[in-house]
Amino acid sequence: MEMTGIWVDKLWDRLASVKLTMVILVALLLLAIPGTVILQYNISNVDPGVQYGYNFWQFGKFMQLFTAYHSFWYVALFALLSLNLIACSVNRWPQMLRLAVAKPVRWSLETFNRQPKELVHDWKSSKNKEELQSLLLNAAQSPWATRPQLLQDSENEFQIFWQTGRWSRIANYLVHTSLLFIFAGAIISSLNGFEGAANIPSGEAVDTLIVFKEGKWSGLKHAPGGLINEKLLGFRLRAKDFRVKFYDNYPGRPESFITRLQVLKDGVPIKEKSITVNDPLEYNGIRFYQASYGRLGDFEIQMRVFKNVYPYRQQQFMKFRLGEPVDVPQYQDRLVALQAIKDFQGLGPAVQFQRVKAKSSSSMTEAKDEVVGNPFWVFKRAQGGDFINTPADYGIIIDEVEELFFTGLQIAYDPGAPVYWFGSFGLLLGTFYALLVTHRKYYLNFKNGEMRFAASIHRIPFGFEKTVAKKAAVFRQLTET
Amino acid sequence: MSNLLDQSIFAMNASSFLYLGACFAFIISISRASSEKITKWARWASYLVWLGFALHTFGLGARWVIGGIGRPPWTNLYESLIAFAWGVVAIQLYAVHKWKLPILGVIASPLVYILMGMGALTPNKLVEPLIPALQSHWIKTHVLFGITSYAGFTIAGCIAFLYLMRRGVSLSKIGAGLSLILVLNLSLAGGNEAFSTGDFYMAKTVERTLSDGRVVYTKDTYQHFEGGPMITRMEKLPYAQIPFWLTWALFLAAAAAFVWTRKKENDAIPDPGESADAESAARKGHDVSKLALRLYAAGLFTFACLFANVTWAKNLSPNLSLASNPYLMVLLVMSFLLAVVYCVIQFRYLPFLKSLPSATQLDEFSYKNILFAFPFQSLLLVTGAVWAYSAWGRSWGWDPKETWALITWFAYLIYLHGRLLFRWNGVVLSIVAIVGFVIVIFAFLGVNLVLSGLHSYGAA
Repeated sequence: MEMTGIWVDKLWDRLASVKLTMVILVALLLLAIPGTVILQYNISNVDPGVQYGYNFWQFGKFMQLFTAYHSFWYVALFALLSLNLIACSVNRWPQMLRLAVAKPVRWSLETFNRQPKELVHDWKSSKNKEELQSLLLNAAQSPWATRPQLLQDSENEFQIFWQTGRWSRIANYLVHTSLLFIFAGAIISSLNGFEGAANIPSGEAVDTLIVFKEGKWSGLKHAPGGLINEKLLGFRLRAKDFRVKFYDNYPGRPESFITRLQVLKDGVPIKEKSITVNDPLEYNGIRFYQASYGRLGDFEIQMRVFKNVYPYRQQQFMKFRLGEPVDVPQYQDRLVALQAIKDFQGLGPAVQFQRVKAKSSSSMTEAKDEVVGNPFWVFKRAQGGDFINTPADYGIIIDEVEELFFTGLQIAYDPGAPVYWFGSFGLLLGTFYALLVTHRKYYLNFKNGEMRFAASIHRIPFGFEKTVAKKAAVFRQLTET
Repeated sequence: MSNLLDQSIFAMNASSFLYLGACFAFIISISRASSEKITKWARWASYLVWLGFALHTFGLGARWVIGGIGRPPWTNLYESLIAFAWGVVAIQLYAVHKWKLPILGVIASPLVYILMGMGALTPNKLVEPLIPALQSHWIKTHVLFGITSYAGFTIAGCIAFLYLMRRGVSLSKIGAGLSLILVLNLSLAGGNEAFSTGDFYMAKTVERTLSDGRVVYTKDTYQHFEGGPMITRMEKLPYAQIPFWLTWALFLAAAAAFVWTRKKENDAIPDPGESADAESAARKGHDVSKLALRLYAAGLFTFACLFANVTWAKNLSPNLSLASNPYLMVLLVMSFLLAVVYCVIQFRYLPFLKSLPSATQLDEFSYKNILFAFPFQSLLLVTGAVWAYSAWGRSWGWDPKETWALITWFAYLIYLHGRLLFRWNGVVLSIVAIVGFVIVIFAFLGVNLVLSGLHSYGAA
C-alpha cells in the first residue's frame, strides 16, 4: 500500500513540474508544423492518398499524419498539458492566493534596510504626527490602489501601507484555468457537435445536410435513401430567394450574397432571416452560414407571344426553363430554349430557341421531338423587350431572363461554444493582467521626525525605481518643512 | 480618386527609397571610428526613417480615404506588407526616442526596406472593394492586433541581436550563424534550377501568342491583354552562375572557418556578464580569425558581383524580368545588407559596442517588446476565432495561417515561461527571441507564399 502511495506521489510531482510544461510547449510547437506542410483531410482539396506515394501514405495513415491535429499524439499532448496545468495549479494556487489576499505585515527596520537602495527614500519632517498621518493617508489614495491603511500607530511612530495589482499574482492561474475551459469547450463540441453543408436551389427546400464532421453523440439520423454522410435535419430549410450582387467596376468580384432563409416545421414557417456571409441564422443552436453559391446552369425565361400583325393583341404569357419544350397552342407550334446568355456581347440578355415538332406518339418509347428549321436568337432589349419575327408566324417578346443559382450553406452545431468563449475571455483578461500589471506594495514609515518611503514589486521591475522616486518626491514635498 | 491612389503609391515607393537611404546611412554610421560619431550618424539616419515614416503614413492614410471607413488599408498582400512595415517602423521610432536607441535601425531598416520592396514588387496595388467574407468589423481589429504583435516581436528580435553583440557573445559564432543563413537564402534563391543545372535562373520571360498569331515576349505575367496561351520561361542569367556559386561556397567556407579557426584563447576569458562595460565585452567577443574574415569579405565581394551581373543582364534584354520570384530577390537584397552590416561591425567592433546601451538595458527593451506584443498575439488568436465563428461556421479549423499564429504564440509562451519560471540567462532568451522572430516572419509571409489555405486573401 505504501509503495502505491509513493508511486502516486512521484507521478503527481512529475505532472506538477514546470519542466514538463516546457517540454510539452516545445513539443506542441514542433509537432504543429507537420500538419501545415502535409496535406490534411478537411482542409485541403487534394486527397493525400492521391498526392503522396504509397509508402508515405501507409506511414501517414498509421501515424494519422493526414489528420495531424486530431491524431493520437497531438491529442495526447493536449491531454498531458491539461493534467500538467491542473497539477501545477493545485500545487501552487493556494500559496499564490495567500500572497494576493495576505494581510499586510508591518515592515521592520531590517526589512526596510534589506530593500534595494533605489527603492528606499528617506527624509526628515518636523510636522506633528497626527497632521502627517491624515496628510499622507489622503495623498496615498488612488483609484488603482487599495485604501491606505495604518499598520502601526503608536506614540511617535506610524506605518502606512497600500498596494496595487495584487490580483496579478493569480492572473496566470486565470490564464491556465481558461485554457482548460477552452479545451473543455472543444471536447464538448467535438463529441456533440457537427459540421456540414447543404446546397439549396433558389426557391426550393431541403431537409437533409451533408455532414463533414460529426461527434459521437450528435444525435443525427441518417437520411433514408441518401448518401452515406447525408443526415436528417429534423426540419425543412427553404431558400426563399437568393441574390448575388457584383461590384460594378470589378467584373466577377462579388459584393454580397444574400439568402432569404426559412425554417419550416411541419410545413409551417417558424423562423426567417436574410443571411449574409458574416451574419448567420441560428435555430435550436444550429447555425446556418452563407458560405458559397453556384450556378445551376439553368435559366428561367418569361416571355409573351403574339400574332405578328398590328396592333399586337392577344398576347400570351409564358414562363419556362431551358430545355423544357413549351407549346404555343394558338399557332400549333412547339419551342425549346436551347441556351440563354445574361449578356450577349453587350447587347443584353438573349435566348436561343429551336422550333420542334412533336412526333406522333404511336410508339410511346420513341416519342422524341423532331427538329424544325435552324435555331434562332431572340434578344431582350431595353424598355421591357422587343419583338422578333420567328420563322413561324408569330412574334416573341422576352420579358425576363433570370439565371438560377443555388445557395451554399455551411451548417454547424457547436454546443461547446459558450464554454470556450468564456475561456477565451478569461485567457485575454488573464494575459493582459499577468503581463501588464504587477503587484506593487508601498510602505510609508514615520518615526521620531524621520520619514521613510519604500516599495517592493513582484516579477517585472523595469523602471519601477523611477515611479517610486516620483511618488517619494510628492510625499516629500508634502511633508518636508 | 485614382489620382490620390497614384499619390499614395508614389509616397509608398518614395518612403521605401528613404528607408533604403537610411539603411546606407546606418551602415555608414557604424563605420565611424568613435561611439559618439556612430550615435550622431545613427540619429541623422533616424531622421531619414522619420521622413520615410511620414510619407508611409500618408500613403496608408490615403488608401484608407479611398477605400472608405469600412475598408482599412490592410486587406490584401500589398497592403499587409506595407501596414506591417509601418508597424515595425512605428515601434522602431518609439525605441529610438524613448530608449535612446537610434542604432536599432542598423538591423531594423534592412527588414523594413525588404518588406516595402516586396510590396513594391506586388503586382496588384489597387484599392479594390472587399469580398463578402472580409466585410466585417473584425477586419479592423483582428488584422491591427496582428500587425501590432508581429511588429513588436520583430523589434524584440532585432534588439535581441544587439543584445548578443553587446553581451560579448563570440563574434565568430554569430558570424558562423549568419553565414549559414546567407547560404540558406542563396540556396532558396537559386532553387531547384541551381542545384540541378548549376546555372542561376532568377529571371523569366513571358511568351504570349496574340490572337493574330504573332508571338510577343513580355516581362509581365499579370497584365491582361488580348492574347492566347502564355508560357512563362525561366531564363538563365548569363555568367551569373560564377558569382552565385562563388558566393555560396565562400560563405560556407567562412562559416566553417568561423567555427574552426576562431581564437581559442578567448574561451579562457571569463564571461564578463550582463553589466560589463563595452571594453570587457569586446575583449571576450573579438575572436574572429583573419582567415574567416577574409573568406567572408571575399563572399561579400562576389555577392556584390552577383548583383552587378544581374543588373547588367537586365539591361541586356528588355524582356527579361527579375520578378520571376520577387520575394526571393528581396531576400537576396536583405541578406546582402545584413552581411554588409556584420562585416562593418567587424572593423568597428569596440566603438559599435560602446554606442549601445548596457546589455541589461537591451535585455529589458527586448523583453518589454515581448510583454507588449504577447497580449496582442492572444487578442489576434481570439478575435480570429470569433470572426471565423461568424463567417466560416467554425472557430478553429487548423488552417495553416491559424496554426502558425498558434505556433508563434507557443514560441513566446516558451520565452515567457523560460524567463519567469526558469530565469534563463539573457543569451538563451535572446536566441529564443530571434527564433521567435523567424517564426513570426514565416507566420506572416511564408504561410501565404508557401502554404495554401483559407487565408488566401493575402495571395498575390
